[in-house]
Amino acid sequence: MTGHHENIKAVVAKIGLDGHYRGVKFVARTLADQGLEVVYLGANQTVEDVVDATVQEDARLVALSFLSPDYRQHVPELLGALAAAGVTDVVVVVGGLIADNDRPTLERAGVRGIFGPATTAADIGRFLDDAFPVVTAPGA
Amino acid sequence: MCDGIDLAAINASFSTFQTPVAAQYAVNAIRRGYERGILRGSIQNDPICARITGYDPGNPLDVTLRMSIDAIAYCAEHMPRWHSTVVNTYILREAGTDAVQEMAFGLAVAFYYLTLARDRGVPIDASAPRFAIIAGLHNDFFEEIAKLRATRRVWAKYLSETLHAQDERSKAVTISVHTCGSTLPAQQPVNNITRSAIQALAAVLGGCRGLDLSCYDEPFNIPSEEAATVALRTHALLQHESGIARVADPLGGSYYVEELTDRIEERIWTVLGQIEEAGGIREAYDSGWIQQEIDLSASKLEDGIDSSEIPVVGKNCFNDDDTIDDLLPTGLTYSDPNIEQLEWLRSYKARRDRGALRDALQALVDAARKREPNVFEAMMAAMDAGATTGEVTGAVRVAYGEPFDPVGMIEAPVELR
Repeated sequence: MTGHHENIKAVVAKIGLDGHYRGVKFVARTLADQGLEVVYLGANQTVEDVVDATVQEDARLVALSFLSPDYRQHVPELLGALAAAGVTDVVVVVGGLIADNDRPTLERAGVRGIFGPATTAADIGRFLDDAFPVVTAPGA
Repeated sequence: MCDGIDLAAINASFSTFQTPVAAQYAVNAIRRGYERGILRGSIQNDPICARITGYDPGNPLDVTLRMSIDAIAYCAEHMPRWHSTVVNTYILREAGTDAVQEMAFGLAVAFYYLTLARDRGVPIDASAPRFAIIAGLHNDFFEEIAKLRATRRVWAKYLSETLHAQDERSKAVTISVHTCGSTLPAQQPVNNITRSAIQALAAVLGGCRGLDLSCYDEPFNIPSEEAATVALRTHALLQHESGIARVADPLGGSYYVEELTDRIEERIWTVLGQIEEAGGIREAYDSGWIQQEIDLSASKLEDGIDSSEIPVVGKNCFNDDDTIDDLLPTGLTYSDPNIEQLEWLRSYKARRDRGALRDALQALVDAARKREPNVFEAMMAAMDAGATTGEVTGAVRVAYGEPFDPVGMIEAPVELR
């Protein structure tokens, strides 16, 4: 059983022209089911859109979905833009169709989680437990 | 792309929503000396389903509908063997609709195009025989067969009773099937060969007129050569070994299939009624109702799979043996950008006669500003002067008060007023 993560905001988006939105909606719904407050930007966003939303909403998680190789360009751009905006404590994850040989590059660049097509809601829950441990008061 | 191919001998299906691609094909064929009237093939020409499913976020529907309806008018008059419109219900299904919504939304879209074309002066019997549907084929074997049968019934009744078609060909819609890629999980991908074969069998029994199969590596990749070949061989063995293609509608008269067809037909009419009550498909889309319905159905399916209430073999049941996961190679790699093609396009653009290009693109803008002229014809003229599919779309956008490029990266090649 995975925990319930309240008071955590997540920005969920697709950057670029790829319109396949079914997966990203599934992720948004799964995060909401786990107690997160989801800021769903949807498809066709720019790097600036995602940075602005992250700053304005004080989000602790940014989840991006790509069904095209555009992540090679947009993810490093986003990580750079977040750092430039002074956002250093946000967890960035990507999902969708990420090529095996691109994974090390993304991880080195600071992506905390990469989720492929076999991902289940339970996998997402386990990742959240690890990234955002639920603090239980002693004796509770 | 078509170099060395006899265009009189082929049926060219363009699996794209970009209406100008049909204009480009016609222009190239005419340049090579073919009569446009002999061209056979199809283009999806379906801006509403494209928009619903996120394929065409940049172009307002007014722009794409103008190009689409004018393409229908042009083809009805000059390219009578060309399928001017293939409504894509496959992508509605992949976006998350159930079987009934898939066909009801798609039929409402098709009827809307036919009505717009009729209002533009195209008789129903000139447009409808060259309409087709590309449907998805999902897991529920008999429901999917009934869905295809019910769709043909609804089409025939609506065309006959509401649009007053006379020609029998107007009342018999061609349905092609693409088996649903979204049904193919990443777990134990070898099973996807079996899944697609069962879906393809349903498609044939349901009376599809064209068929292609999603491949076993669909969850990971654009199909590999191997996966595509297996899909083609599955197709061939259904067609040539099994004998199932020998007879039309082999399940006609089955108490179960007939009853199910009746029920699905009734439910399709109910949803069509809801769309009409909402003010029509355009309004139902604009108000967000269509999207909401799709998302609800998608969630229902995902919840069912998550709770194992809906079995997916290898994913939520029979999933204790992961050696089967690696039986087939399914890794994902992306090819590098095709720099050669980019360079070719750059030099193509540089070689054009800029004066002729400016005149033709401006003439397209002027035509699109008025209601009467057919923009498909003006698009063909612009392409004959060297314009690309993107540039003709940009010119129509300018006429509708939109920027040339929706994302503001590309300038018009010539100044458009």
